[in-house]
Amino acid sequence: MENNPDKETLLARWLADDLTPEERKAIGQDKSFEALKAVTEDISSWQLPAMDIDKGLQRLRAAQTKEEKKTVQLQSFGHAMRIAAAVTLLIVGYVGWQLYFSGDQVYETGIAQRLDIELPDESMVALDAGSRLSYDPSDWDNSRSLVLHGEAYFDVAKGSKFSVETSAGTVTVLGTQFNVRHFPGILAVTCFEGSVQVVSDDESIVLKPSDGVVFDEGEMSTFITDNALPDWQQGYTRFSRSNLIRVVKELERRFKARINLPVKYHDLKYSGAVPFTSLEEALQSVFVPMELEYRIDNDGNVSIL
Amino acid sequence: MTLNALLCFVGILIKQDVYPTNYHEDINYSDEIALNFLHLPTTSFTPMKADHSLCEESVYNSVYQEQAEKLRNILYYKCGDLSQAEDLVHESFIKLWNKCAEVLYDKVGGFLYTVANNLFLDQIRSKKVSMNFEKTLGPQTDSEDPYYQLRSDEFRQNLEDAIASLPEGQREAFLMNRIDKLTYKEIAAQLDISQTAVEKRISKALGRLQVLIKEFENFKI
Repeated sequence: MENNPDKETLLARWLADDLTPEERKAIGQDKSFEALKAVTEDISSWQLPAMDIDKGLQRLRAAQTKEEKKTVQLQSFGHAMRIAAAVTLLIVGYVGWQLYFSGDQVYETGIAQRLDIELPDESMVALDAGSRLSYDPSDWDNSRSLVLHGEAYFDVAKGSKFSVETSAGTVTVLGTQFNVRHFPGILAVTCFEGSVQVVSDDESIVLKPSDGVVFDEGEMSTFITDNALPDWQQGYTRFSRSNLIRVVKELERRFKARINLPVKYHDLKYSGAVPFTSLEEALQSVFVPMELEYRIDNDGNVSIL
Repeated sequence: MTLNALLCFVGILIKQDVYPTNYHEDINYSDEIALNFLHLPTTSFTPMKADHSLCEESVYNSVYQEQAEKLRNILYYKCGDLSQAEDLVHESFIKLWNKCAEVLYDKVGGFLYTVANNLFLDQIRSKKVSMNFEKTLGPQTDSEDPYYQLRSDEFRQNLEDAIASLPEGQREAFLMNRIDKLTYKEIAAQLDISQTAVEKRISKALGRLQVLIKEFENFKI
């Protein structure tokens, strides 16, 4: 009977009164099972407060009415928004951005820092932590072209072409709002409004609102978003079945931390939202649900046990 | 790095009609969450029978009456926060309304659970879960019952803490069985795992309770 796989389900089958006669005999008059029985019966009598169904339905009705109103507004005042296209682009690859410019206007952000920048044409840029943005002021009116390493959300004033250059490619939009992110390893594009075509090597996809695409080392997968803004503007990053090593790399970048993740965990899948508030909170929200333990040593290095 | 070309352009936005009745024209094929539950429009799209259409308010309301509390309970076992669980139920039903023309009536339970679970995964999870139940049976003081102490406030508090500290999967399966009286088979179907997996989870949870009982009894003696 040693190492019998049935043993792993024994207690559950005991509870459901589904044991074999031999198993039942083996348990016999074991007093500890009587105590366990008393406890499980007690738990069965516990309840949660009844849910207020009428209140819930009322709340739903209110939410539905609001949604319909919003639609009407969009249709009557939303002309500018129709021309606008909000696109999130996450572009990753190795960049030689350091070499590009010398006399340029350069903006850089450190850990947990964010910067709002107004460009000469009144376009607005929100630069996320650990990112760098540069452009040539003298040529701005002509080119409206920026070089980005990292992640930024753009609210572009109307006008002609507007482009963001990265080594993975150039993003050109005719619309007004988009987010660009550029780090080693991934290209991800999310479209909020309008439509976007993404071409990487021989693969091409057209995104509609709420669609997103990720090229992870050339492998394409799609996702959807319900958000109106990139996650980082709301203080967190969201992962959906990402390899754990990818999540760890993102934490290392964001908090300039060193995290030692054993190779055996690299390909575990993580889904969830990770807050940027502190390294400690971010680690908790990743590793507690994964049931992995971690330790932070005195130098701030993190090891996963 | 295999990426060497990126081409991106944005066309003029054509605002989609957001009324649910037209949604079947705009099904988002990348929507992994809901795809399994959708009527996929083939060459001819056949609308649901009126008496089963989730777009009918009476049908939708009756689904709410039947499913909301069950769903709320499962979400509570995951997050340990009653109002968070009820918010997730609310959000899930809004999604159901928006997709009412596409969700099969028979699959509505699975749709709601999957949507709610995905919404839950998207939320920032609180570090510590705590569990709190209403107990209808008062603490027994009947000394003829050899286990009356196991229904004392003190032990029940320990028990709730122990349940709260179980891994999410174990806690969920165990409480669905105890509180919602679901069979292992029903739990397996709901969580989309095998029955054996459910039995393993529940056995582990019971093993934890055995240890707790032993500790409590040793402490008393």
